[in-house]
Amino acid sequence: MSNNNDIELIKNIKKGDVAAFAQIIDKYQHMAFTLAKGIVKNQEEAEEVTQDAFVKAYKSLNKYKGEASFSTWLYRIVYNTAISKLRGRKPATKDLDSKEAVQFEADYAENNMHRLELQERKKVLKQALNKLKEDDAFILILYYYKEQSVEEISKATGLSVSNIKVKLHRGRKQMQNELNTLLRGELNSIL
Amino acid sequence: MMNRKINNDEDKLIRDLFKDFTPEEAPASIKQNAMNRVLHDWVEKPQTYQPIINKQNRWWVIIAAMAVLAITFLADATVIQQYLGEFGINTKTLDISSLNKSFKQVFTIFAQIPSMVYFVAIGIVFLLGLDKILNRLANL
Repeated sequence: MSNNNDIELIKNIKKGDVAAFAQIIDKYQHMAFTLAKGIVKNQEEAEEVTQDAFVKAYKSLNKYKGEASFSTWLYRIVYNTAISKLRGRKPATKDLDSKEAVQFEADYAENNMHRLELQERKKVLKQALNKLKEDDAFILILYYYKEQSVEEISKATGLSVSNIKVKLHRGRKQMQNELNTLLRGELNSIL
Repeated sequence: MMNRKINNDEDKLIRDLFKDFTPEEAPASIKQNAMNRVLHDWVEKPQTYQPIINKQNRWWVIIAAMAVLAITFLADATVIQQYLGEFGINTKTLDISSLNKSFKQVFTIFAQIPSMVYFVAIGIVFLLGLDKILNRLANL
């Protein structure tokens, strides 16, 4: 039903009702932003990626034939844009002895302690997702939150089904490690 | 066996955690900037339309229409009635008079239009044609 609404909106946009695209943005911007941030791990870059993805989607609306749901098609654009951003990023040089690095480590530990006290599952989850490698967070969000099948995620990313399964397995393992690190063994008592 | 249990536990743990998950609030600037770019693109793009009759066929359509008008004016449709009669079709109930008679009313409407209208129309077409020729010559 939701995809039918999307298709109706797309028809209107193609007829020249550009304002209808604002409704598409309203509907998908939060998820697109979350997925983009899952890959680039940076607020500003995630904003850029989301914007670029929506503009790209608008420009290639004629290519959308309705074979997959519109959300899957859009998430694929988000995925590709985010991955391109990641590839084009210059490798960050980290000065481990710098004051900033030392401060970061201190803040990190303090934040974790704070989270342990507050037991905020949401924050812990976001923190853990932010620690995952490249597109693992993207895949985990689609799988566990959007409850998409492996096949649907495969369409949204362009990766093979077996590759998605491997990444899901790896993501789960890494997530478990991150959660253990963040919660230092108290996770079981929280849950 | 042991590995599968661990995987299942991990899966359940993460699934439970995701029950509380909500997507991050996207900054308002995303929609604003994306729509600005989309509108900019839309304004920049020339709006084209597909003519119902393309240029090449346009003249053929005009010639065909004129031929149909000429035939309707000249042809005697009562012949058709005779043919139908030969095939044993009862033509008494059919009211097929000659097409030129049928279209007589149409032609009388044209005849009633003051000649000034025709002269003005021919003048406008002539001026448009002249303008086009001069434009072509200017762009040589």
